[in-house]
Amino acid sequence: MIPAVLELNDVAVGYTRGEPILRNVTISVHPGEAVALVGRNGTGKSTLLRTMRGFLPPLDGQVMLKGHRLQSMGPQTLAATVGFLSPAIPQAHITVDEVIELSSLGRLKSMQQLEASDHPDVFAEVSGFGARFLDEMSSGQQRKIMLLALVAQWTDILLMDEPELHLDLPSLRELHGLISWATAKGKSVVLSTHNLETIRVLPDRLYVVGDKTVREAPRTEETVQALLEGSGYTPRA
Amino acid sequence: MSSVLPVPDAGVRRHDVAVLVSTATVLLVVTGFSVFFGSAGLTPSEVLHGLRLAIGGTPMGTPEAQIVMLRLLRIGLGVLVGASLGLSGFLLQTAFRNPLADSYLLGVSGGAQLAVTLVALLGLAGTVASVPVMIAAPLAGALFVLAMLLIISRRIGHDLLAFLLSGLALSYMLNALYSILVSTRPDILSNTIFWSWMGLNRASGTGMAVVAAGLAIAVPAVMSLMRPLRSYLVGDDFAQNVGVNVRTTRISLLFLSVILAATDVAASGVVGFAGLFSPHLARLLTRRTDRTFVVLTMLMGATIVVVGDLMARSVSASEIPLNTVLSLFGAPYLIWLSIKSRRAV
Repeated sequence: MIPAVLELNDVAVGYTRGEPILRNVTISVHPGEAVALVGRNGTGKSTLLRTMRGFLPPLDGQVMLKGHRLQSMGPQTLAATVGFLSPAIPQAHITVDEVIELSSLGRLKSMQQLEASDHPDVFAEVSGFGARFLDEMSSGQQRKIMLLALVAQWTDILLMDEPELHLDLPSLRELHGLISWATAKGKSVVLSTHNLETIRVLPDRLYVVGDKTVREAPRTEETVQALLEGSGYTPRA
Repeated sequence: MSSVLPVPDAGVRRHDVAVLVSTATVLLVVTGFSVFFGSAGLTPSEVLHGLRLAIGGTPMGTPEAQIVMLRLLRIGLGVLVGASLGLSGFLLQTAFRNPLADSYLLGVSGGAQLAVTLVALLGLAGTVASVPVMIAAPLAGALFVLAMLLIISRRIGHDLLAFLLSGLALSYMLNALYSILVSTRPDILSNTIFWSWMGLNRASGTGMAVVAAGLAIAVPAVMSLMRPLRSYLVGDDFAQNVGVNVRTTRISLLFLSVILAATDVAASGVVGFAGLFSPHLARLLTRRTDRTFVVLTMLMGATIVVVGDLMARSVSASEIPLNTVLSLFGAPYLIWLSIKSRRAV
């Protein structure tokens, strides 16, 4: 079996001061897999993603990236290994070309170069936005730029905190196309989502976050109904 | 990976060279023009004669030469202070991610001024002229205000206007304290008040050296910090995700900005709005936030201060403070910016 690229073994996550938000988290993600984290607001999905990215140290246990302890990796190595899409919308007066350049860690210097390289054919609406300022577009357009910036970073692991935010329905389809394209190239995607369409069609596997822990759930209509009702939100072990 | 820097294409480079050369030319023309104007009322031929003597190595040869020499010092200081204020404003605007930031408006310069005044009042009047105190006191004052701003900004969050308002309030308070101090001991502080009031009229070689030293520290540091600086500008998560230490970057930007603002106060007193204007004017000429943009910001700052000083000493028989001239243009601009930023929200 191909070894996991991202592994959490009995990890506790949370902010350094205070109780862990999640305990006994065990997740493994393989190359080419798309994994979704679902669960109610405030259960700790974002905190978990931030721990996977190394923004927060695990309070217990180890996060392993491609066989290395995340804690032992330097910021530059991490940036080249695991990319993160923030739910925050940046209000920066900076051009799209520069965002792409910075995200690509210097490989690319413009939106045009990204489009000329091997990249998913999505979000045509923002192609040619290279010279535009990020804070002068709609939040949906900004979101598309940040998704393309994640592609420009071209890491083996892509973490997305609610990637559907601000996207219109056709763009949601394109987002799914982007993720499928990335996984087909052997990339691993972990995303948090509240989007029914995403939950139904996209992930290879589903993890439900709730009750201070994370459990894997089958990707079935039964699980979706339980999620919708909220009652059976925590699946049977 | 990250060591492979992208090479800008020929079009971008040609544009950069063109705007740099034209902006530098404007500054050169303005400084050249500036030598011929002043309260002494010299004729152009007297100025040219004085210039010949000053450059020829006998600056004290004639009264004309002395006046021309003073003007050259003053313009030289203006160029340095302007460049320094412009860079300081850019760093402050970046660190707070707020286009309305300026060391005068946020009270950083006011803190530096108050600290110098306190030093003078504490019986160290004789030492105010000595260079280490001249640098240390405003730096300490400015850092103190910076610490307060950081606490305020943490509480306010990302509300540009609320933050500006708090900074303005802070600078009013510092100015009030300064006025009280001055009124208690007008004798000791008569020198200080004049100095903080007027701007470039006390131009000296020492003042120029202090500002130049600030620039010598800040400019190379900023040029080497461009990648973290730009990543930081996009956002905390974005910067961290591309391997940039957000805290270190923010503190470096603020510290460099305060060093510049403090050396400016040491040499020319409180000068407002140049730091606000300069990055915005530079932005009209280039869209990228790169080294070209940083140089343009400094050139704009220098031009603004030299033009402002030229107006300060030519519009009326007696000299007007530089800060007054810049406020005349800065205040309406700030109002316009506030309206614009409110619309954007």
